[in-house]
Amino acid sequence: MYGLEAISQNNGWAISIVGVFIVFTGLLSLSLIIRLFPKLIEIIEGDKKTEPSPSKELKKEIEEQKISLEIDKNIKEVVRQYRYLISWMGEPFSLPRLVDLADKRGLVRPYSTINKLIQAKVIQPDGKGLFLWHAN
Amino acid sequence: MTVEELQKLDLFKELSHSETAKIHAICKATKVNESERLFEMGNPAHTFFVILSGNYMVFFSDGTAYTLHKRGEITGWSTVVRPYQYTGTAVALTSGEVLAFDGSELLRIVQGDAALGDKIMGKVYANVGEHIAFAQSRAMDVTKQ
Repeated sequence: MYGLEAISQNNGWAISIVGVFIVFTGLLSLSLIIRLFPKLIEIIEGDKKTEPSPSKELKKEIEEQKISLEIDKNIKEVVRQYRYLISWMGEPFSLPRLVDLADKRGLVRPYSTINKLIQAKVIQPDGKGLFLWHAN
Repeated sequence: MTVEELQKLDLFKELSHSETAKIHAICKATKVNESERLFEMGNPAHTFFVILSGNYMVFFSDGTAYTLHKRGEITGWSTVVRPYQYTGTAVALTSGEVLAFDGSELLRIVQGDAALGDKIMGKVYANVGEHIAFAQSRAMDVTKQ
């Protein structure tokens, strides 16, 4: 017995359907877990900070105010985008990696933007070849 | 760029007019665009650069980097330092202009005229002093590869 007849005789169709179902269920579960990662990281990061400190929003606002003295309004949005990337990378961070990441995220002119942030001392070298965000 | 303008750069300040003229003969001012690479790590070091304008980043395989912003700063000094192989990659952060020196010609001048060689190499080491230890450790990595 060969071909489709053999498949039918040995429950091949049912096994295939179950296989496909298992694979898709696995992929769906995996995507849901990955989707939860940012929230999990946020919870873990949040738990680490036990000391009473100003709220995240307040801290952001203070930082924004300091920066706005040095750079214009349009740059503020850029600062927000790069601050997000750097917080994701962790500090101290690699400058070429930041350029690469900004480029991959489609940010406009990452080279000259990062140069502006360096000139404004928003990004500063740590003296060991890596860089820090707004280190004062 | 004239010989007089070249002599105003920190690297060549101590050179006489005739010495600067020798150097002038082997350099070429080149425009560089944002994100353009001047040289890449691991490649034979053929060209030495003096910054005239613009901003640059030199980075290494381990992700470390330093930036150059001032007129007269130099990069690509592996051209005159063994093993004559770039230890990092230099990329323009903004458009600008550099003075490109043919490495073998520069080396010929430096090796052929001891006094001139000493003046230039002294300045090279002084100029890149802060980056030397940084890049030398990476030079070892490059030669091992």
